[in-house]
Amino acid sequence: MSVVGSIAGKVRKKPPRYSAAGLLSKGLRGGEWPRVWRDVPLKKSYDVIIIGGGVHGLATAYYLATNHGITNVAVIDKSYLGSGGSGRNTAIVRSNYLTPEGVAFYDRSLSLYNSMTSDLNINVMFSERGHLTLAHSDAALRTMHWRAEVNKLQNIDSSVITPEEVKKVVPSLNISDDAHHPIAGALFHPPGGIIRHDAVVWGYARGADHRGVEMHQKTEVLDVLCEGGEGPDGKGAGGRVTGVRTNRGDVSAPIVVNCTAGWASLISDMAGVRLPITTQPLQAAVTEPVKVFLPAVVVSGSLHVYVSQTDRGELVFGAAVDPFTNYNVRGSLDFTEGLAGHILELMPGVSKMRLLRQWAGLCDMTPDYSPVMGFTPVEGFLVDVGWGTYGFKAGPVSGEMMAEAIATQRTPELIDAFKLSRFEDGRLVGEKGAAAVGH
Amino acid sequence: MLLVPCPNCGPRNASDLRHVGESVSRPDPNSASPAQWRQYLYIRDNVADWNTETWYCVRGCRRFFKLERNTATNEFRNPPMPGNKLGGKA
Amino acid sequence: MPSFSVPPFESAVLTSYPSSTDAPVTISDESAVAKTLIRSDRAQFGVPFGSSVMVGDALVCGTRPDEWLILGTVDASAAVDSGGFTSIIPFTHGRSLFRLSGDDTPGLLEKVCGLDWSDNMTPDGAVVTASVALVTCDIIRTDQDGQRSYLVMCDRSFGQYLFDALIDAGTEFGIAVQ
Repeated sequence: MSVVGSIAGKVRKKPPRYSAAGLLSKGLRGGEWPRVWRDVPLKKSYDVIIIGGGVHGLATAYYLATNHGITNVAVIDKSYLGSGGSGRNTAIVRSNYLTPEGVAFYDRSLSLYNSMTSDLNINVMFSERGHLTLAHSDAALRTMHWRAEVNKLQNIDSSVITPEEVKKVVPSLNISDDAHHPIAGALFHPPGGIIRHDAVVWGYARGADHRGVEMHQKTEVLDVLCEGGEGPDGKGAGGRVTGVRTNRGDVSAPIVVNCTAGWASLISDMAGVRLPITTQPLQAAVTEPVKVFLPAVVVSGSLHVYVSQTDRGELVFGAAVDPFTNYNVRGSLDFTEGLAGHILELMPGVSKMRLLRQWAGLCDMTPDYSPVMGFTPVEGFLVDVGWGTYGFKAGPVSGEMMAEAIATQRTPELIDAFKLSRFEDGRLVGEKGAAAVGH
Repeated sequence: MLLVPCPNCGPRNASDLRHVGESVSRPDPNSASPAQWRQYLYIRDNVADWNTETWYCVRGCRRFFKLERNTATNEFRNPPMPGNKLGGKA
Repeated sequence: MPSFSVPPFESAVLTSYPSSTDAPVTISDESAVAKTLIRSDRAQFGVPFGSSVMVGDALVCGTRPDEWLILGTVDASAAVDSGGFTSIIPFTHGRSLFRLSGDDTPGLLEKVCGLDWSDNMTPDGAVVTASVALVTCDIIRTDQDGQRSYLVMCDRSFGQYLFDALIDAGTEFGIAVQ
């Protein structure tokens, strides 16, 4: 398959399929693998421009092409695809949320992740290993029971288990009473697990590319072009979007979608749309690889730490967002120190493990810890932002919903509560207890 | 690790302080329209550049003050200014 | 008028740990010392924020720009200017107070508090408020007979935790209870 195997805007005749037989034959005979997505010149106009080449942007492009046949689409990113939160998260997926709306939303996402390997023909290494949310107090345990009952009503496999049962699932946890925060029980969610986040990014990019969507990396948006708005240069409410100005020239499009997470408010400002978003880094860290001993994802809301073990044997940790707004992705000693203390509280046995590295990703935090999705006062300018600390697990369903919104020009019911105007109407969505803290 | 120049306690680790947030103008509650009030409550510039913010020295002198910080590089500039817990620009 | 009898103060902190008077670092529970808090927009005592002065038998510490801590017995009311808003709060029962002594004390404090404990930053008499083992504490340097010594005060409910944390941090210095 040659690099310029198809003309932009048209469906490729023979998309290269990944298969075991193909891997074996390549392994034996050598030879180049085809490019995962084409490298094509930037056109002057598209039907839809998606800013941000992460899971949300790429999924939106993929579902636009597959579900709605809209393929004259460009995904542009100022860096490489998956360079932001999509490549920096801790790759945990689950659907055991607290509110019925949240459960329905994330369950759809989880089912899309479940069938992703076959849908996208790429091994996303989804490991459905079970997800434990620890409770350290009676109050937390009550909330777990509440969540379990909400989950059961919606057919989600979720139940509260005792410390002894927790010990059976994850033998390395300290369930004794001598801890500062003894484990009182846990919400056990067997369908939760981890996934290879890079493969999800590549899979969506490849799938969208096969259907004619273009990926443009190293293409930075310098301005969003508008007309007719009340603000300067035709920006702002009442206007409509006409395209974007990039470091590679102006590109026109009647629809521009902002999927830029931490940079969301900067991009929206370019269109004259003010977002209730602040940017805070979320740090994560990974240890040296060791023999597999942690069979499930372990989350503690009280200690605000979550940990899973990768297929390579590394422990991946995450914690809370940094305590001040910031566009800087440097690690801090405060984070490492707090993390180590909390992990050792849960698993004293890992005290000799060494951290390999730590990193941070930028989170777009909203006042109610719920996302902002859908249409804005500027016609044609849509947002899928405000995902804060849990955007990755919502990526597939967000893409599906945003694609539906673009294709039908109506807000799908599943994301209606997340519209930007809720901040004017005072209808905030309190998902905090269910989504932002629990991860 | 971020050393915040507290006007009373001197440079302190950011964990000794609370980041109140970007300083915003607080409209008069008696005359503000709902839109102005929500703007004050929720909307922030969130620039990746120099910004004026309110900090509270929660583990030190328990004073509010304002500082200019570059949110992209985490540098501080100019001496602290008096602040209040509403974070207002006034 | 009903009358109340105030029970004698007993520290809630269990200090069962090897004791010694000549260990390199010693810790003692001094929670029984009378503690009075003065908040005022007027009172100055001639004690600026961040410093402490002995007034009679009592130690007057400038713990905040408008707040003073008095350790020991003193007629606080006389020390306050007339006028302005002034609160005088006896809170002996509300705080735990530990004394850390010994030449290695700065090393111990560095482990639990991110401040500079050198002589030029925190000389004898210095008062700082900071996080010690993640608990907000007032720390007063009051050297005794030329030996490094610090008073560390926190909310009483954190007293046992702080004591345990200081013992834990001081183990490598051979800490003992005095």
